[in-house]
Amino acid sequence: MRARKASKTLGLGVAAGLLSAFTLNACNEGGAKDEKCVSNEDFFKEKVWANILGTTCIKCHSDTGAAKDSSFILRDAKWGPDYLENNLEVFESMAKLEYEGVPWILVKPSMDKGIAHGGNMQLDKGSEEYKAFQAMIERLDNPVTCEDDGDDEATFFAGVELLDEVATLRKASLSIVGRLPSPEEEQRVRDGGFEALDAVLDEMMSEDAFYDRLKEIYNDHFLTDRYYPDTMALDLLEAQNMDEDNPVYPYVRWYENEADPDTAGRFSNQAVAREPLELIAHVVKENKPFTEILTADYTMVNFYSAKVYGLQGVQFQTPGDYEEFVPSKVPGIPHAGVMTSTVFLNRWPTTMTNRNRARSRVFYKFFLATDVLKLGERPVQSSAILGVAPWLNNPQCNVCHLQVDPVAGAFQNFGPMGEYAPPEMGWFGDMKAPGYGDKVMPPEEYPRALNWLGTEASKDRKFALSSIHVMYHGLSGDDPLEAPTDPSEAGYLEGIRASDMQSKIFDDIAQKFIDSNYNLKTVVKEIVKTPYYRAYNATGLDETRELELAKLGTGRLLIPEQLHRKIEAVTGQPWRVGVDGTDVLLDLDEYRIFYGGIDSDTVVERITTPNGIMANVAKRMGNEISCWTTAADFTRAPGDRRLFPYVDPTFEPEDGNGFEVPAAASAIRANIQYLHAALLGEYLDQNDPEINRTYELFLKVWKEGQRGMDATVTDEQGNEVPEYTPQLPGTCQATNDFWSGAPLNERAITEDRNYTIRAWMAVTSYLLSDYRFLHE
Amino acid sequence: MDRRDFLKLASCTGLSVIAPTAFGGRQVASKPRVTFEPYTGTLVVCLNAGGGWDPTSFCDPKGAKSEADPNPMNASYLTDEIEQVGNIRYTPLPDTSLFQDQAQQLQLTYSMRTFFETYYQRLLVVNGIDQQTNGHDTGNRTTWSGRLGEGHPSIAAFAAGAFGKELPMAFMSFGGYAETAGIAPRVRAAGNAINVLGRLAYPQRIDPNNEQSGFHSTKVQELIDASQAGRDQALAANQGLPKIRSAINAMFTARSGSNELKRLQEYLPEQLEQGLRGQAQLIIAAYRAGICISANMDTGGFDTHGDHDASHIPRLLELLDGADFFMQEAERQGVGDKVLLCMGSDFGRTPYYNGGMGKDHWNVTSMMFMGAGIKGNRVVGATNEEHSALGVTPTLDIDSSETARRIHTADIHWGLRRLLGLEQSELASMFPLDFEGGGDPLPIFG
Repeated sequence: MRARKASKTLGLGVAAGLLSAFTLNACNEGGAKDEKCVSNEDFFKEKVWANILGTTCIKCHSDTGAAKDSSFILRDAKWGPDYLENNLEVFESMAKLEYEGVPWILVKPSMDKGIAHGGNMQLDKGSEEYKAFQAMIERLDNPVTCEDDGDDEATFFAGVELLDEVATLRKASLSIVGRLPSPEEEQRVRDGGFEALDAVLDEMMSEDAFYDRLKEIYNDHFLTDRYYPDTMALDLLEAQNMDEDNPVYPYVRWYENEADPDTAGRFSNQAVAREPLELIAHVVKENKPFTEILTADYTMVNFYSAKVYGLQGVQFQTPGDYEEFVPSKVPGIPHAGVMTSTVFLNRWPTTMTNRNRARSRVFYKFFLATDVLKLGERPVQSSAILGVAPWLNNPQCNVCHLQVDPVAGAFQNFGPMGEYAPPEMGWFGDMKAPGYGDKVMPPEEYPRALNWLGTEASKDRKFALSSIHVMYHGLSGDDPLEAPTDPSEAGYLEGIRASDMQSKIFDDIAQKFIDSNYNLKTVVKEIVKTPYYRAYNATGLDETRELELAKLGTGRLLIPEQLHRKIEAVTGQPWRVGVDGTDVLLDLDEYRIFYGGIDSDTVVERITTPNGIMANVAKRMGNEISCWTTAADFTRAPGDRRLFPYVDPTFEPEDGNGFEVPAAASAIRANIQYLHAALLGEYLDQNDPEINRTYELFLKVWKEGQRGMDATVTDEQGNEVPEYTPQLPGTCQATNDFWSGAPLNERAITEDRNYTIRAWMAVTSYLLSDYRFLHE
Repeated sequence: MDRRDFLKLASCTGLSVIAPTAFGGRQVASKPRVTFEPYTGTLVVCLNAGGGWDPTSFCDPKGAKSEADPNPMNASYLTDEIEQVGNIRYTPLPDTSLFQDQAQQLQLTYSMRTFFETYYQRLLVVNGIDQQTNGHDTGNRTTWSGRLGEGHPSIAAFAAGAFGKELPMAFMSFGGYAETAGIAPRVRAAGNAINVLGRLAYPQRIDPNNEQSGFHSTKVQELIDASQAGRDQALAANQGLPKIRSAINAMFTARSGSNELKRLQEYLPEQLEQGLRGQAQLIIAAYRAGICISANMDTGGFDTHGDHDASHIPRLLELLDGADFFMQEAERQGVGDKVLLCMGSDFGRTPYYNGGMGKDHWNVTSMMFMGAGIKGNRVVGATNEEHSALGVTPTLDIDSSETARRIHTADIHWGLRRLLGLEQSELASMFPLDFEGGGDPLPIFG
């Protein structure tokens, strides 16, 4: 593994260092030069939030707690990624109030000066917690800011071993374009470091494969590919008709009289189904601000879907090319990016009584990094649900609804089937008015309410964060860290530190994203450079550090689509029976669901932990691919081989007397070394224990082959026959080129008289089903 | 030992420190199983009605006062029409009710009477469960894990983690709440399962039906497997990041039992039926093969905010038909005394219709249980006329006072753990349950 270790290692871990640092003065207050600078934010998090606000005060001072009517309301991590900043602001506002010269935030919980506190005495004067409050108040008067020299990050990730630039390139390349980097690309990165990595990634992100992956990543959230099969998307358009004689889209079935109606219908449906994903691809490809996914006043059509909508005059470079999408406007629709596409509105539908709240929820989830349902994880009583408009009037309900309903109101112009149908009688008066955040939507904006919402929401920093969260999940397979909210949980404080560190890193990326005018490629380039993407091992972690780094590391089980691409990338052959056959990892009736994939319909969550069936999918893959590719690779000239450039089938590790053949053994080792790099991304020395292990496997299999070819067994007819024959199993013979089907003639390989091909098959099986091949 | 102590100890001994998971040991969890022992304990199956079912439409019946009732709890049947078998009251849907005509139009063939009359002696109904939420995700989570907050495994995953996470289909899930919390892998099946499973049962054979058709010789395949196990162990031992260690161990665990998948071939039917019936067939076959401990059956469509009766009642009947088929299939396969079927949903539905004749979310619900360990012909808990939960005494007598204790899902899950002999287990310590008032659990299952 090519790796770089973080330069600093703290024997006792970052926690001890940070905690002790809190007793020190801040660096800009004249403290000793080597003392740790502790910012207001860190002090608040470690000494005030984690010790008392988040463990004691929040029990009552929350939106639904006993002190919900006070002006001191705290929020836990479920509130959103900036919950700590919000709580610091709340603390500060209370600290500015004084009673007889003492800050209210001290007087109240300590019941000082005869002041009552509904929650009784919670803060003893003179206690460590009280002192921490005092220190925090002093800091508010004299804010401590620390220079961002990356020291906090270096300290937090001390002891973590990171992939170097070249290994990072390999991982990113497989992830975003489904191929291995070329030797030239590797060399550029080797020479130019991370700066060059950015440049190479920029080039890769101009390839079509990147946009396929991008659509895949966003579909994991939107799930609009549910409508990709058959004519499901076109059916949605037809379902919008209120009057059969006056259809909304009269040309939906334009293709029925075409020469090849099935193909034209399929291309039409797929284009409509992919509108939101194609819009995302277009925005990124054209380096447009990513905010356009919410604000674009157009949708994307291809040659076929343009006809579905009856659009005239749409210009295509290659008419008939189903892959060419161009921006266009559907008359009568006030487009607002992905939100107004029929498939999006149907995938996230509403009902007359739901009043677009479900759509509001997904809007928060997809575009604002906020799961509003988590705000409702509190005991609800039946009495709260009864009554007049409880969503407006009952605190148990409106804790969510006051956020959800204004955004729901912005979807008012689109009905349950995604049809454009502004409410004739206006929007519901018993809901909080349409708007976003503190802003109420001006009524004159109602006709284009979603455009207004998209514009307002995309100004929110949470929009940038949500884009990072989606891409982070797509690239790493992990959800963003969420701070724990239960102080009794193991690793509570460590979890807060970990999520806070990630929040800071994501916030830095968000700033770069915004500074690049919301170019999503910036997000990709920045995420792959973070320790979250590159960490592959660590040393010297104690219990606290292990808890802090519990979610760190490259341990993602590849999704079926990624594994499919990787197999072809490294072996040159897909896992497909025949060149026109089924891609078994992608097909819903084959291994896709068994291997943890989704169908965007009823199976929408990927399995990330392997099970026994998935282990057998991997095993069969290793066996089939090694069978199909080993002999085939040997039919090529060494320079053209993907797998075995350093050996020939004639290279046997030992001679007839059992003595090693040094040249052959060395070449075999070299090829094993090459395979570890090519298949697993492991760059190992020739004497590395893992090279030895693989060599041992080769040697044992070869020896077993020698024994078996000399031995005889009795067959069913009672005849003595060789235990192993020279013949390769039928499907493992190389007789025709996979892609062209052309006979290989004299280059064909059907036999393996030395048992070396089968030894290499065993090695290839072993490596293809290895943990590191199946994970990135 | 509580969860915190367990995790600390686990960390010190090289086991998991990723809270919570059992895969994170510095060494791989155990050596590959040399001799396979088929699982013969209780098969735990959770049948989930996705979207929030309406108990007043089946096991906690509350009908309309009359056909002219302006605010009927249920417009599909009258209170007078409610039926009873043994101690269990149920709705007269669809045949002998106001819903009869619609039922004929919808061509409904199954009935509540068929289900309750067939199973009442084995059936435990728990009414008046206070879910404390009316949110889908939270409701489904608390129903199947016993906890409102995140982090606890479903009872099905809990059982699999306790009894044999290395089995290749230890926990099968067709949907619903399937959180494993890292204690057991989850298996999913779909599509043309029978053909595919044949190939996956014998990944070392070119032709699954021909044992002589190995890609490698038997001996060579053993050499590959042994090398792989050695490498997995080395990777785990040299790995310092808990998350990656956990992933390596999960892979190792998955491989260690995967060889037993071939046993499934013996028990699979020639053809799987559709929907819940097909799910039931596959689960029972896997259990008979000794490779399955628990499963989620799942069907959706219960979130009927509009046109409740016409949408909801057919879904309920389909659900009960699925439960019926599951029990019959278990009997047919000779394991009828081994299965524990739990039926639940996200929450209940409002005791009134909204403007679209739909019913919205309601935090009071019911669950039903039958099979191994369940004392049948019982109803625990109750609701009032407005379908609000009534309290119970510690001995489960109904207590209508305001301050009486309500049945929570934690009580039910403690009971399920007890049925499985796991209430004092290490996993139970890792995933403790909180009971109302901090007291003891209610003896839901006796």
